[in-house]
Amino acid sequence: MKRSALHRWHEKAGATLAEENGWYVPLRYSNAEQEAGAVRGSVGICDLSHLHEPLSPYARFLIAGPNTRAVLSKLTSLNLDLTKAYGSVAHVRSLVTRHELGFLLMIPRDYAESVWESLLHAGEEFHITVFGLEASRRLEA
Amino acid sequence: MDIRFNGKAIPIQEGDTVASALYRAGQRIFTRSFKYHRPRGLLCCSGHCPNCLMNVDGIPNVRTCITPARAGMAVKHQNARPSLDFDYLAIAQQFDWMMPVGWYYKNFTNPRMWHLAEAQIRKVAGLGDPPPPDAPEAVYEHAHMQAGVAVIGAGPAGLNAAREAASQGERVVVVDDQPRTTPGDSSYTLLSRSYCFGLYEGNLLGVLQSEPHSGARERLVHIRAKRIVVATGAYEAPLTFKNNDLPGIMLSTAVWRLIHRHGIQPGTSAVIISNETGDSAIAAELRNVGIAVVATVPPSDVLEATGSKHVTGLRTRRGAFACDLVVMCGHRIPDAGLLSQAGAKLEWSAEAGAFVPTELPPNITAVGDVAHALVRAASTLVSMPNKRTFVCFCNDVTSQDICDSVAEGFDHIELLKRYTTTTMGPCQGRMCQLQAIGICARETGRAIQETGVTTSRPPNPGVTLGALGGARHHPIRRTPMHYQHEELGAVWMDMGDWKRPRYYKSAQTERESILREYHAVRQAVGVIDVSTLGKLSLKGRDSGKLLDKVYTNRFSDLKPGRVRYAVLCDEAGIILDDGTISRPLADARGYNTGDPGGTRSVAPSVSAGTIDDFFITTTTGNLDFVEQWLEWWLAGAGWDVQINNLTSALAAVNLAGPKAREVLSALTSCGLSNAEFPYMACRNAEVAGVPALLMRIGFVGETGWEIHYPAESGEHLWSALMDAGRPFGICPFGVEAQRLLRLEKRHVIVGVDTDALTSPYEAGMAWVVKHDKADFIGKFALGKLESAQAQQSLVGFTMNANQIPEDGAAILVNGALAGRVTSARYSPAVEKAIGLAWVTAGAAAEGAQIEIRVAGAPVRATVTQRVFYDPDGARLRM
Repeated sequence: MKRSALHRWHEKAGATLAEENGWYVPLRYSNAEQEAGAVRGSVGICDLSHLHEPLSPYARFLIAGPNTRAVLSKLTSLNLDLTKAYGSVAHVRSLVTRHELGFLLMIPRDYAESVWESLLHAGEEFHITVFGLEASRRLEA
Repeated sequence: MDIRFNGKAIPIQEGDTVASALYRAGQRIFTRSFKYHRPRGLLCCSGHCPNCLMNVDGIPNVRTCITPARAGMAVKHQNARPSLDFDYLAIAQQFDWMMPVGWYYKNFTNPRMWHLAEAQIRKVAGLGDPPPPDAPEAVYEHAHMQAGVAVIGAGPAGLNAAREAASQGERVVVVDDQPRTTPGDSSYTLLSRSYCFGLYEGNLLGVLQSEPHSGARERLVHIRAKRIVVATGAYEAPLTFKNNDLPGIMLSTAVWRLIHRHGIQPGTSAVIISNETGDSAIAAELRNVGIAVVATVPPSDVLEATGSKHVTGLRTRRGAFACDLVVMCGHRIPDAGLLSQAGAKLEWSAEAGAFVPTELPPNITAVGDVAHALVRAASTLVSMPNKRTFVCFCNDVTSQDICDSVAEGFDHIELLKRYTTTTMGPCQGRMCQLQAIGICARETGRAIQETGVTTSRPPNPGVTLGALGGARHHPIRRTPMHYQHEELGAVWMDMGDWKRPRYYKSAQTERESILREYHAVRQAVGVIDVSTLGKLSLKGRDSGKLLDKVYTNRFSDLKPGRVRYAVLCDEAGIILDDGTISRPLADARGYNTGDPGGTRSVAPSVSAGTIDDFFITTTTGNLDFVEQWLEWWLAGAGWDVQINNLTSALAAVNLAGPKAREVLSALTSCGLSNAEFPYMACRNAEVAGVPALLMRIGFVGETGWEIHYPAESGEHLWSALMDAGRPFGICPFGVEAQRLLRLEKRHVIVGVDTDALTSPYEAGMAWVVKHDKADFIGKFALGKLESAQAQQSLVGFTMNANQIPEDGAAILVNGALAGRVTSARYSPAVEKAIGLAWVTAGAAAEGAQIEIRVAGAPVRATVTQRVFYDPDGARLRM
């Protein structure tokens, strides 16, 4: 079974993990409805690394919710009005692209946990939440 | 609701700043001055002067007059002992004859004396104490904004400009340093309690915001704006006369603020110093709140203020007046520092009595008082030399000091600034600049325009170091097996951003743990995580050409299924990096049998490489450089090469030791015998069900395989190796054991054993340079170096006595310096300390005796060119 760079983080956070296309994926951390609500109300992050191409050097995060820009602007000087930008996010060269729910971040895999923690730290003032695939599907629906 | 001031409760009211609350409670002395410890009270009440700096909640030098008071704040005075009211260091005033301007330049010409004096001076002078190391860490953060228009200053002119820009559809940000929040207008974003400390290239503004939210003390906001509107207004600067620094002598704007913002009556009887004849506006204000206006006198008539800890009167040519408040209607000076930083010129306007900005650069505009200097110059009066007339309040520079400095020859305004330190304190010249220029002009007989103005540089005002540092988001790179190492007791070391296990704590001491790892590799089997190695894949039919051009050895003739050691030099023949280059096997169609981790079945796009593909490893620290170096030499060559950085995509381990084959054979169907998989061969195969590239190489000197495979299977394959190796006593080993193992094999680590002057010839690696190939980088220089007599060589040594030198230890021959140690360890194989060292040519012969400085004393050692362990490499081919 393939593991995202955040696998251990998810485990520690008490995520319910499931198998999807040969990967362990976090379905939810507590309650999908609450997670989706917290994202709609403020901001949340989700690990989508399992959606990557084979042999990708990147982890993928989705950051979504009305306070997305406020959180990202604490970690990057990239112009978030662009649809796609490449540059430093929490001091790590990353690719930031617009997503229907917010922004998709592609972070070099070995920096993934570091950037994830930075996002959570920067988002503290907005009560940032982590959300699993179930919540992300609700948000997309 | 109160704050604590030096432990005492001080009540606060709605809208109070720390300073206004203290003033209302009767505090009049707020600070003691920098040099003479003279009492100082509120002067500007707008955050421009140094007179109210205090320690608030452990942070020194907080401008209390613009810091909103919050219940529970702990406020302390600074730079006065024992108290503000009685400061025994005020005795310094009696010794002012000993401390003329530049006195430490004049007196402490002996460095030893200066070092003695320095510590004492630092205690007496200075601006508060930094927080103690054990103080709770304040939280700082950064943020970035892009704006159409950034407006600095939320006065009437600034807000007008903001509304106008917003109505044109621009995204507008307004920055204001005052504690109030301007009543709502949602068309723009207002950053209140924020000051702009610098204007940088590309319309970048540095803004410091206090308490952006409850979780952070300060936020440094980087604002990139298409257009910047400077509406910083004008500030009032003090007048100069004897004892002009006494508490109770305030700027008219400060008096206005205390009355209107804080409802405070700042005295009972006042003298106003103003050029305005008749009844001034401020006089009416004072009378309205019941302050008697004793007199209004022009600045030219003022002789001196009287009083010791507070003003008690003003002596003038019109007579002496008793009072407890002196209101200075001072010079109004455009706050044009940001404009000056943007490249505007400051020109003297005699009419305005101030330097005014002209020639604004494009996309910078100035509105309000900063642009149109008010014709309310109190006077262009320049004070005569006096030892109690203060020009610079921050650093206690008097008009006497300025005149003396000019007389001593420091007559250029920039020299004068550096010599006297006037304009160099916390106010950055706001209070003192005009006076200093005026005195300099008079004393040198030059015009003010000609005298000029000192340069404004950011940050102005100052910025806390914590805010510049920002949040603790130091990036950390973790390999896919990071947490497995942690579970195994890894003791970490930093390598760039990477965390690597230095060793695994398996015994009482570090040394025992490392030796255990060492013996496992030499006698059984060990495994080390080498995921930090740089990994690049090269595709395209000209890949071999590029490698031949960039590396010193030849790769175009590397047979599929083989690995070769690779050294990369610059044009001067200096070694920049080393690693391995492999050429995976191809099938009958000329296609690779799989890229490392190419997941053949899943991802045909990755495995669709051809026989032209190569796989490069670089050292951990040099990946970015090597990748750019290859791209650089590829650019414009017109060759068909695609470089792909797979470092983060692949995990890698090195399995080594006499039992390595047995462990690995349990996990793969790939033939591992010497016939099927010889030394320096590579194969693609599945290991524990994971597609992998295996290379049979031997950095540590034992039979072993380096295995590269997809990072998402990092933990899976590591666990499989540990499980399969358990019956053989497998032991994970860290960087420290690896360094010992390779040292016994005399393998060089680029950057540790080599430096910025090392060529392959001196490093004993002549064999990596292939002069018979077409041009390659460094060929010319290497040709010269080959025939030149090497000045120094990298040699091995064994210590005669049982002592281990430190890395970098000096080498002596006949008492003269003859080189340095690059690596040294105790070698269990040799049973002595061994190492690598640079020595001069004369000391490089086999068996030469050298001395190495260990703990200050020379210890004898013997030079050897031989490999310490398994010199024939038999164990690599077992």
